[in-house]
Amino acid sequence: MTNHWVDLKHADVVMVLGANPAENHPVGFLWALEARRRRGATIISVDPRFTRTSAVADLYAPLRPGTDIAFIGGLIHLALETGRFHRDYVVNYTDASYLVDEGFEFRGGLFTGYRPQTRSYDKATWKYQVDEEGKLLRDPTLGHPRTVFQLMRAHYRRYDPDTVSSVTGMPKETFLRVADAFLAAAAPDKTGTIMYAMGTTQHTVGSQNVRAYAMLQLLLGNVGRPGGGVNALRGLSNVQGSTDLGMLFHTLPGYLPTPSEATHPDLAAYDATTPGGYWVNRPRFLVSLLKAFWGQHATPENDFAYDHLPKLRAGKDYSHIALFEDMYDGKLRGLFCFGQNPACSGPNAGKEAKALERLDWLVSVDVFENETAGFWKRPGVDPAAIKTEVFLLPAAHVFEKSGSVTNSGRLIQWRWKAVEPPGDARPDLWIVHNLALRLRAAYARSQRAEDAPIRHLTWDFGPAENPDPEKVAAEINGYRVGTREQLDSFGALQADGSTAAGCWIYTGYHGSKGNRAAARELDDPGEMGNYPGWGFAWPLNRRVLYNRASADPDGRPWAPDKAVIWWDAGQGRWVGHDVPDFVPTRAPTDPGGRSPFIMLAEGVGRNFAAGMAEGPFPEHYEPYESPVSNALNPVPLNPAVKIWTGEGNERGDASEFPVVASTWRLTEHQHSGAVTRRQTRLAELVPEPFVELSPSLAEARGIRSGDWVVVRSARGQARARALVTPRIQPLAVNGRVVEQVGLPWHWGFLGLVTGDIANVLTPHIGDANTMIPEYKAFLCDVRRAEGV
Amino acid sequence: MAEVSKLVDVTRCVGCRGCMVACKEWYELPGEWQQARFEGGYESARGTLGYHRWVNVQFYELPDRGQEPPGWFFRKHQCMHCGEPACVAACPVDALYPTPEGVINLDQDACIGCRYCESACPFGIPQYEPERRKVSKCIMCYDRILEGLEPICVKTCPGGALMFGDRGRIMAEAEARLATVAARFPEARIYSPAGVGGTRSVYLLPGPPELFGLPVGPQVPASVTFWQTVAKPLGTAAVGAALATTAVAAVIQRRMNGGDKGAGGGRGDPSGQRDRAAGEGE
Repeated sequence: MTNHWVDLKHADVVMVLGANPAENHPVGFLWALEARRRRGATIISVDPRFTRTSAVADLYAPLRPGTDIAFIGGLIHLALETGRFHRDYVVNYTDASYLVDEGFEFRGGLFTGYRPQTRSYDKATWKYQVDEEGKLLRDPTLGHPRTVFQLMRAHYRRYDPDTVSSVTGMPKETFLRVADAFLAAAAPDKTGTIMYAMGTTQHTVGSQNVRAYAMLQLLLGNVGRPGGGVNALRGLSNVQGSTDLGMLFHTLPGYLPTPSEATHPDLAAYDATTPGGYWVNRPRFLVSLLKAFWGQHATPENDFAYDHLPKLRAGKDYSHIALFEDMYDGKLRGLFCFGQNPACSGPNAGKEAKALERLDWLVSVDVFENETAGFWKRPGVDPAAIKTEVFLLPAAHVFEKSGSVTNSGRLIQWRWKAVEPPGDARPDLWIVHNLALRLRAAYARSQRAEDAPIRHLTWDFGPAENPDPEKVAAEINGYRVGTREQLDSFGALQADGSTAAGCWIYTGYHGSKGNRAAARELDDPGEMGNYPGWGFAWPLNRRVLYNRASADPDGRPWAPDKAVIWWDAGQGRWVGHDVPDFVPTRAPTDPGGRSPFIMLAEGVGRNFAAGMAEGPFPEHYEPYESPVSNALNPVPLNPAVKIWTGEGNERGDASEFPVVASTWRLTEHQHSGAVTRRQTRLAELVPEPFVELSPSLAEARGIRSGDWVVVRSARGQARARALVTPRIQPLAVNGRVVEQVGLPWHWGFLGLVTGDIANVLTPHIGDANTMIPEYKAFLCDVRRAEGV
Repeated sequence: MAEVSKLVDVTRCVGCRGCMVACKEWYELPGEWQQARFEGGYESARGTLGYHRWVNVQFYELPDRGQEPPGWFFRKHQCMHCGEPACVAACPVDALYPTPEGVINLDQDACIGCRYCESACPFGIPQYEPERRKVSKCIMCYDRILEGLEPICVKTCPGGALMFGDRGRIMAEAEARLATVAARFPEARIYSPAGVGGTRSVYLLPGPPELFGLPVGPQVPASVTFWQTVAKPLGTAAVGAALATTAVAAVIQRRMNGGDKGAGGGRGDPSGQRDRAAGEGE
């Protein structure tokens, strides 16, 4: 989240799309309800089906899965054409006034520079114009035809309300009502927030969906302001912490890019790709990370052990789908699964379970034996024919260990162990700790260069039996090498090897004042709901990112009731109720004093983002499996996604699979149900898998509520009970009626209550930038189950 | 302690059913997953209370004045804790009794399983279990209240739909919330019907009670009133005589003979139910 949960209470309008917080984030959603109670905020729920969030919303708008960009593009179009955008904000705080390269254009569904052989772009023209001195060319009137603003206008002119309605299936009247409600947040004294989750991201255009939200929010002047922002609702208590600490293949801790063999062969080459803005400090963060990893073995002479870092191979990605494709092809020998259950939660889960059969060994660390640990005894297979050796390590559950979690609002909060874990169960930290210690001992006498990263590892987290999470926290935070003085700001990190920090963005959370994640003070300056003494929000305990933008160019809050920081000329610094996301003494009149987006070289928000794989502006492309052709351009599928072919990657066609499907979650269960399907009181509430479908589809297929049905896709089939409800409606798309269904994916073959795995239906295809799988839009058919 | 009440705000409930789970956790009532089947919707157990289920959230898909799809509302169902409780009037052994705080408590050890309360209650609250020959119901966490804690459902509710406290404060909150939702729900109203002396479980409903499975004008049944004012004061001996030809007489007899070995415990616990429930386990 750019903002945080409590901050939702400042919103004048809340748009929830690609998320269902009343069910999946019921505690945080309280603050959206608070916004309505206190400010009369309008809550909008945009969702393929009418959810428990829709039930308490003021406005509900149905949307065909996979058409968010068409919808948001329509809002951008209306904002620009009717003047409902925050002009002062847009001119001063975004790139709307910048001129774009004359060679850049969008034609025939593609941006300039497309290379069909590699399904990628040559981005040579995706750039701003500069003068002879390299200064960016601007037109603050926004009238120049090459401004980002005018190019954006031209780009989204096709996204008129009729077309939007035809693509998304959202009735035009509903679309216009939503537009009126949300674009009201363009008023300088109003803010609107966007809450999204996996319904947004799990698409072949997932990243561009989020980009579209960001652009809309920039146009309405809603970023960096209380009650505004682009707010990702994380699907687990510590997903934010996992990504912060580099659990994704393309980042090291603190969102430093993973080096690649081709472009970053050595430290100098890595540093040569350092971007502008605050990121100019990246070399300090990387060297401090290397010092945290390899301590005294990281020296200026050996590039701080940069060579120890694994590098991405050219043309390879190491995302979930890619790993399982390689596993299926027999290229991986072993797998560690910590609290993960890909046999249920992976896309194309049937193929992924088969892939597990090709492993020599599998280690599953979980509270229970989940379907991944038990894949060898899944229905329909002969355990004797599977040679994979499976190790099941019992893990401690949340109340059986101490440590921190980082929530959606970047808030790091410590948790304390309440009870001892049962039996042989151990915290994940204990398991990793002992693995590391034993590996280090095993390699201690090795002279081979490739073993050096293990031999040289700094690993000072306590005795084998009792690793101390506070020691881990202290290393993540960072310290001065030698004195071991804990640091309070990443501003103190150095590139000369004098500092170490395991994750620069966390610096300060375990600094000179001790463990601030464990702080529980209830002071609330200005009653903004920031509670700076409760836990620690990265970076530097900032609660609202980009908060310089909450004030106008001269440093006065845009809205008096949403004053979070402002310029105090007397004191000569930014003051207020949050830690400024800005140089605290940089006056509005100073160079850069009006550029709130300090992480970017140009200091303003980007409507034109050349970093994206498939184009600087989000463009609508249909999902991998779609019942209709693309009505907005001639290109059916995101032209930059990788298409996985080969065994088990069948692609469904609408002639055989006419129904649009999505997967979703229920409040009563969590993820694959590995834990919740073993809780008797939760299993009682939702015991069996079901599929939600409209009364019209049910009638056409002769299905009654409660019947067993079979949902089939090109990749597999799952049995489920029919839930026939008018909360699901067929949608009018491109002049025809498209039926849609959705399945909660909480079931598997182990546990107190069991059922078929919904993800056997979903495909192996991912987003062009992040490779996140497209779980949320695919084709299927639904029939009554015979003989049940 | 002053009279207490619990507000159940149906305009704000998101139907997460956390209250159902919390209630079972607190009283260690078993999860009844073995019998559970999908029933065609999000509700479980036919939307009813049970001997081991003192709270249930009922789901209502309602036509939303011509708009599609329909509105969807969630009403937490539990004992209403009436001001003039028919169940108390009907109970021949005073197993059901009002506390000074206005809670209708249940001493399960004293219960003889006569089921008079079940037929007297206009809300269908007491749940009878034939093997134990007992009823059970929500006691508004009287054990917690006495310790200065709010009921567990209120503590659990993430969306602010439940609120507990002094009756005056709760009724004022209900009025205030009614004013704020009036624009969204023109037919919204507070439900604490006078026919049963007002209820300590107070609803804020988005519309007429009959749309949410609640009786429009509940009354204490006349037979119960007669029973309370005429027959019951005659005493336990008279009760035994009056019921001599009924099945419950045997129950009473066995209980008086000390033959009900399942009873026991709970005396030291103000709820009278805690230990019993704990003994059942899972």
